[in-house]
Amino acid sequence: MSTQPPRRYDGPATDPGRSSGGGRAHPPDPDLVAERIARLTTDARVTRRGYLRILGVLSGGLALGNVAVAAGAFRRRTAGATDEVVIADDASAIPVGGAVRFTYPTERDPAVLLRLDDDLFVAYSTICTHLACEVLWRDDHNDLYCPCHEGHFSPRTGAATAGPPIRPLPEIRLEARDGAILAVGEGRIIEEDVADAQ
Amino acid sequence: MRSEPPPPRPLPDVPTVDTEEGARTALVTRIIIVVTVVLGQLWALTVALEAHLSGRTAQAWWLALFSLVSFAVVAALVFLEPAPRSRPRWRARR
Repeated sequence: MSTQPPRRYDGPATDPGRSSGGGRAHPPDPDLVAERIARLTTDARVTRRGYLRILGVLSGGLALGNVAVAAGAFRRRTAGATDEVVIADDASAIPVGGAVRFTYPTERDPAVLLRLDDDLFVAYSTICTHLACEVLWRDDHNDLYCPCHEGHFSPRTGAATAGPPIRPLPEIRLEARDGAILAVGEGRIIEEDVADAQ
Repeated sequence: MRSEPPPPRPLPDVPTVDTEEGARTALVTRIIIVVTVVLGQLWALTVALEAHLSGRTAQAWWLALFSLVSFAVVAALVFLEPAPRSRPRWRARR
């Protein structure tokens, strides 16, 4: 059994672009040969089977990610908070159409209290359900507005009325006590929470 | 000494030799099926995330099950390499 040294690539025998006719052979351009050798040795080659295996790994990752989502890897707002926070000592001081900004249940969760009528107060988290920008109350337009992506929410229900948001703003439960308005828990906008409460 | 004539050619449904083109076609077909299934998994992941954030946990779990079954299909297509088809008998005897 004879062993042969590895064959070296010396470029094509003929270069049609430079041929002066008659298929005559030209010596390969050393720079061109060096460039082709560099390209052949540095390019990552993926076979069809290798590509299939990469897809298999990707599919496994997607399946794991889906299980993680279902298991609750991402935080979502629930009706878990039960702290009582005084929003306004004197509810009558808030004009109809007026708003009071506060935080609930933690200092990092902005919210807003709205007085929509003489005896109608509502409060919502002002974290947009689209991409978590802060939602603003616009009295002149009578809506809750997210300036980041033009999202609009109904002040009556917190439901998304226009723009990219789909989910409603989380509601905050209120209680009137001795003329004051208190936040007493996070809302019941999530379907399962409604079912649990009933 | 005259050799015996070969037996008749096998019927079309008898296993034959894999050609290079045939094997490549089978591989590309598997890749196309797997890509389609993976696209379905991507869709399921987005819908599951939306369902979870909306509080529809049961729907998110059904979608996770769908994704796991999809992965099982993909794994079968990736790792269960079909055995090469056998040579026809009349050739194997030679």
